[in-house]
Amino acid sequence: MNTPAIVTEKLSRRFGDLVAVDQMDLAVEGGQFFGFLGPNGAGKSTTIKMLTGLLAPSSGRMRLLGLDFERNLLDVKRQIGVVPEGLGLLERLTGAEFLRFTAQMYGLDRRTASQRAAELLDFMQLADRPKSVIADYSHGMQKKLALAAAVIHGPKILFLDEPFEGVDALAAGALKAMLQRMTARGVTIFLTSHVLEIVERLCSHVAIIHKGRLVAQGSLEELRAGVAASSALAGPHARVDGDKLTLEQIFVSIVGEEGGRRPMEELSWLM
Amino acid sequence: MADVVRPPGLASQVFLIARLRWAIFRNRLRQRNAVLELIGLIISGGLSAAFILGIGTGVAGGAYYLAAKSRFDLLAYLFWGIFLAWHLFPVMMSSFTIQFDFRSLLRFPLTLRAFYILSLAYGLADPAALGSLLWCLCLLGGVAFARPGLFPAALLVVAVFAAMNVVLDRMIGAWLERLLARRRAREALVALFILMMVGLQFSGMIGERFGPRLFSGRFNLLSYLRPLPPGLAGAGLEAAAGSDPAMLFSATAGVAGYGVLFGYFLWRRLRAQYRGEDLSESRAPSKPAPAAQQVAGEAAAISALAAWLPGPVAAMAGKELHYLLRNTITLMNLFVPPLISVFLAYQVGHISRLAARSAHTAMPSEFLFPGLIGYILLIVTAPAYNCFAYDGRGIQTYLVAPVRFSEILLGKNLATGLVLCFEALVTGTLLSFLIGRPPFAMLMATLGGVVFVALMQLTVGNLTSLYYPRRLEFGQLRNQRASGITVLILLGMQIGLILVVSGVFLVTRWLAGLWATFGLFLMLSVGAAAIYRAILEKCSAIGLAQREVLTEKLIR
Repeated sequence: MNTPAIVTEKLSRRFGDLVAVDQMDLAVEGGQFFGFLGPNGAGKSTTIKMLTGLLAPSSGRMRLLGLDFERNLLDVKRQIGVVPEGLGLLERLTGAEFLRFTAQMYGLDRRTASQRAAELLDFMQLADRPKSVIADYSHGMQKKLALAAAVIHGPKILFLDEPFEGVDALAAGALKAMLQRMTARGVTIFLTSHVLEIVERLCSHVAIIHKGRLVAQGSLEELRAGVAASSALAGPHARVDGDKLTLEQIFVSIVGEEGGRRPMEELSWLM
Repeated sequence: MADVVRPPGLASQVFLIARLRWAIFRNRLRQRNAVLELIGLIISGGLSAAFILGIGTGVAGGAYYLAAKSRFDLLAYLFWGIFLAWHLFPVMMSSFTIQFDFRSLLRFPLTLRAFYILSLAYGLADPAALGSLLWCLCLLGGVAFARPGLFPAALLVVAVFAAMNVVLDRMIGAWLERLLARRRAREALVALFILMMVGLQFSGMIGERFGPRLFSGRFNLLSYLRPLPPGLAGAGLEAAAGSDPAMLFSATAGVAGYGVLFGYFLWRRLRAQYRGEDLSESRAPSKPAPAAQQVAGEAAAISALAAWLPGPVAAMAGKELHYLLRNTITLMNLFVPPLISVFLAYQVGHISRLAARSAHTAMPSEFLFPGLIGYILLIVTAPAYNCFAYDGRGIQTYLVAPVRFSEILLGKNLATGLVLCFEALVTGTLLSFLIGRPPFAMLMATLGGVVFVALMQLTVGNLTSLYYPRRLEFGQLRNQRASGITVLILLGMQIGLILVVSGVFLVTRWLAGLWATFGLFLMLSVGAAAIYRAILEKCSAIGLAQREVLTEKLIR
């Protein structure tokens, strides 16, 4: 049996009185394209930050690729790639300089770093502005560069926080194809996105976090079966698209009713 | 349709803007959780207030004196002073002013006229404008006290002059915003400003040498400047005192004419903003360059310097050198210290000559060389106290990469060391020409002191960088300072190190000679190196523990 790519046990993170992530038990198998969903403020970014070493957990354990995160921090980091929320770019370097810098930070030799940087810039269609510093890039270009930096060392797990936001359709298509090829080769991709259509199209497995707690986890089929079996189907959001629920319907049925939203009637002055 | 019954009046909108500025200021204070930061703000605010009131008293006194002595021809100098301060003061007050993108108000349903008037009102609420307005009132008060009969005319002239300045201030601000939207223009302006400041250091030298010729006809200067707004305002008051109403009104009309002209240019700028002008720096992609060019385009010199270092350390040192060459402020740090050392060498030499002439004991010039090198050392190592300042969001890359903070800091420290070597070499060469080559023993003692001080500075700097980081922006002067605690620690270290180094020099120099100084510094350096290494190793754990502080302070 393969070693799971990501396992968390009772993972929690508190900020003062606020419990951002609460006793999370998550399991992601190797080679999965894994979607991590949740409403705003649910704890997605906090979870990703903990899983990538940007934030220390308050309690609980994390194992990535079979290694305890805290005890094998550098070994784990060598095998993961991250596009963090703020992109993590050094804005006064050129794209090529930043990629070479990142590659060297991951231990690649200078020749390999230069070669891969050039190939990635070409692939991401960023090679036409060799002298521009990153601060002069558009948001979409910065996003593509951050993605290039995340894969330059050939990671075994890739963490992507809203990777397609601001990226043009052509580039997004190429990126999706690249990511799918990576999962076919055994790379695990951990993706968060608010665009549920993208998650539904790309991801084989999904977890939903709400108010810091993991409220659902499994393959899309398992989630559909779970929702269909539950009494939540009787609610107003339980429309069925053909024989299958869409991911949006699954998501809404799980977290929508708990969201505390006011009924539309209360905003009568707006309509 | 939106159910807005009645759009808010202009007065309400102006009131809303005033309240907005107050709210921004108040919230800014709330964010400062460190008491020292708040104390720093109070001190700088108090000093600014004292400065404004002090100048105001001077303006009032000057105006009173000139009016009482009927020297109205010189009042233009006061107008010139206020005029220059009004438009230069915002730069001086930069760390105290409130940041707000005025154009963001355009999301609201404002007419162009309302936007224009709000812009003027917003400019009027600026501390610099308020200070200048106060000085105008002081000038008016001084004249009115000396010559009460002139009050109506003075009121007219000062009011028109102040209104013209409000418009000009906003016009300069709006056009500067347009100009500075481009990063390169922004950095060029900062470089120009720093050069100007450095140039001022040399004004004394130039004045001493060329002063008599340069300023011999300074009172004729006014006649050349008379057609400009402050000159016209002065001429208006002079005419009022000379009972020449035609000249009074034509001069005042001239000032008002300038106001209208500036108002027109402001209108053009605001109209462009109102119509949705895009100040973005991003350009359309140019023609593709072959991938091979990317590799060939690598900054070979910088890479070669870092080639002998281990991977991540080399990458970090190379990155630091790239950043150094692209940051106007840090780049200026390469050139300014040697220039200042030349200035100081001249000043100290001058004082020594004066002392010798007046039969006092001349200053020991043998200490000039180590003193100036030490001065350069303190300037160059100061940024190491906040070494992540310009990394911003890039700190995330350090945190997710498989590297220790000790490697990151070592790379940064090596880059600082390289800059220090360059600076010391340039300054040492310059000083050798200016004040003569120091004895070999003095050179070695100085080098020993440099190594000791640099190691101590970098050791403490690494800790303050991790514990009290503060983000700084490239090519900007506003709010560009390290945290209050860092500044205090830096100051304490500098004073402490100056005392230690001076003590070592003085005691060993007179008791056992300069080679003993070198020997003692060598021993101190060995100790400092051991401390540096021990602390550097601990920095990996400290960096991990501080990761949330680092991301919070550097990313926001």
